[in-house]
Amino acid sequence: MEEPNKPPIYFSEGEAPIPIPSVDDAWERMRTELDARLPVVKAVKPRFRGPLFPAAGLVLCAAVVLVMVMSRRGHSGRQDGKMGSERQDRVFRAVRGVASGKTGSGVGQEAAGRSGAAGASGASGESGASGESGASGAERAAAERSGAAVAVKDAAAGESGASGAERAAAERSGASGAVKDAAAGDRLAGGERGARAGHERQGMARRRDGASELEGATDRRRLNADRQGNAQGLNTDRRRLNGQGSNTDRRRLNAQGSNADSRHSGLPGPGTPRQQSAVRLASIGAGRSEHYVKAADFLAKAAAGRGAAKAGGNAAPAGGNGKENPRNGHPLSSGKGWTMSAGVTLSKTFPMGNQQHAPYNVSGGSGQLTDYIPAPYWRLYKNDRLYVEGAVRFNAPQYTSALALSKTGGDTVSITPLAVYLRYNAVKLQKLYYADIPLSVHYRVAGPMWLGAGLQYSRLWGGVGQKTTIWHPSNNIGADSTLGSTIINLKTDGAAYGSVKRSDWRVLVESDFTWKRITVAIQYQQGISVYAPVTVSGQTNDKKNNSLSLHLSYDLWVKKR
Amino acid sequence: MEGFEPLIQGCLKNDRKSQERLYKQLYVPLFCLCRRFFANDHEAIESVNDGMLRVFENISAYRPEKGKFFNWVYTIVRNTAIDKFKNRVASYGQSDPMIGLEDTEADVSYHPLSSLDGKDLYLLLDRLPPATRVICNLFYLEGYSIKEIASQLSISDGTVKWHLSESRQRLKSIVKRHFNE
Repeated sequence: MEEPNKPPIYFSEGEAPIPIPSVDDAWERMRTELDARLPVVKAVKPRFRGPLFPAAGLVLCAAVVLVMVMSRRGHSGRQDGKMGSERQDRVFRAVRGVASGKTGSGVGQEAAGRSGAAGASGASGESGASGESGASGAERAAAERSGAAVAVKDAAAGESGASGAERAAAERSGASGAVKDAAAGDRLAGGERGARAGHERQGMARRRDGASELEGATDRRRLNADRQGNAQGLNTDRRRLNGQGSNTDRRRLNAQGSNADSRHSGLPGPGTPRQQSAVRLASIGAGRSEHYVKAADFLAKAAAGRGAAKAGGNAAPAGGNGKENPRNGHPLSSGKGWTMSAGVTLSKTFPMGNQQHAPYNVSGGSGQLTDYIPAPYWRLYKNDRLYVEGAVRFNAPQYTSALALSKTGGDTVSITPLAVYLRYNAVKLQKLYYADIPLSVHYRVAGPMWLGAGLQYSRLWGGVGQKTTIWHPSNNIGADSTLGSTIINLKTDGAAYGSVKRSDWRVLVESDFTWKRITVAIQYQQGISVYAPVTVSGQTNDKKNNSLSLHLSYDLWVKKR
Repeated sequence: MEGFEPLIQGCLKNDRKSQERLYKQLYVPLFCLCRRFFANDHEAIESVNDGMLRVFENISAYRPEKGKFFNWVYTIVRNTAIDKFKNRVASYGQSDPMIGLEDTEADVSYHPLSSLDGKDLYLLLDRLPPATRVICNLFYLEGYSIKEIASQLSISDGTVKWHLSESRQRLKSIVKRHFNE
């Protein structure tokens, strides 16, 4: 059908043949349809909203990566322990070869003993082959792994059987109980182990004496002498263990004990950690009793549960429980006593259930930057496991369902004599804004993970609603017609705003992940009472506020202990 | 009525203010057009809005070299009104009992509405049944041919002729009384 392309007949500009309904009312209806079919997307929206969601995603990804890295670090620590054990095993075999005099040559044995010592120091993390560096490696290994501390004890115990003076030094340093226990346990492992210890002591004695050449016969004599001495020491220590009631030490050893030790205890194989540790300390302490005493001192401190920071440890066990400090790097990571910190939190709230995502700000506009005002907070730490947090959060958005808050009007509109309508103005809730004052208690459950719970007082700050003009047929035949709707600031509608309660109490639970000064938290809030106890069109609201939010916090100020 | 160019450019950018100005500028003639199709203002406004929505959605398809913008909008809104009428017939079963009547001889050369002014025209159209009213409107006021109307409404030529005859019969007494008074 062709377009007529001619002015329509029966129409002249400026003159309407019939009464024309209001163009404004018609446009309101038109705009509603346009908003539904051709929504206006302002160019400024992506500028504000765009970075926020990726930023939230980045924060989440960073948190996940951080958790993975932390967990992997713990795993790799265990892996290092295993690899260290393997290296120690190789060293043990090397030393064993030296001590057993397989080569039959004094020079060859000495050379093998040196290589064994070098291997031992390498196993303990040192690049050099000297006993001193080996001792430092032993200390570091002890600081890195709580189980290694016990290994050092074992090593000290192994050495103690060979050198009475050094054993006395270890006992003077306060580690006698653990040393004795470990020594006894070590010796009880079997005759072969005793023989091996004798071999090790033989190698150490050679190094201590600084002999560059040893006769094979001399070695054999020394070996026999060491065996005898070992047997005597074994009996002596066994009696002492039984007689002096070192159950306390044994319990301590078991409680503090490395898992590796407990796994391998009683296994007489050459790769047991105690044997390996004995080899290691034998290699590092040969001829250098002062380093052995130093290692024993460290052993005593670690056994006493003192702070590893004093011992220069990198991540020493806190409280002697063998766990890594969860707040590694945080200024409040160690120590006891009350202290505090303060910072700011950036929050993002998500709609839940039938809550609607209303892309408006508190004034009813489209820019939502004001929804992300950083909130100050403070934390009061009791220790490194417990703190109390308080905050003040202004203009905090609370998503809601499309709750009908008010319905006013009812005046008659007559379009034609047969079409009479009743016009109503209805206000539906879109979003609420509160000023929040949360107070919560947080407890560290594992590693850097915290759980928190608390109470929050929320004061109504503002709200956004949708005001709709509805035409209802006066004869109740037919459906309602929506003439138009606008987004309004609820404060401009006294009836609607007055129907929302000014105060709202909520309980909150929270899960935090803390790394240095940064905390990422997921929080759930549940209102205690109904926030808008209104009855519109015979329906009474019984809904309570709830929300799920993501928080990114940063400690700006920390009061150190 | 002309001078739509800046408004068209604004509508191409989905600018609400330009759309509002264009809508309000075209509202009266388009409402009068739709009012001739429907018996009440409410349906007429709905028809105008549906038509204008199609205009705004497809405004990029308008080619100035093919015709005036007002005529383009007018055609779209008129077709929308026709579609709306057809849908209403289909939805509510408001079919005329005479639809399908073939080969009815009718004299369509006489235009009884040509001598009436606008106000009288609308009063008379309100007296007609919906289908007869639309066909009468399309034939006498919009200048469609019988074949075009039949094609547009998916009915036969004879049915269109019958409706035209019916409209004349119904309006005859009214017109006579009107002129006698």
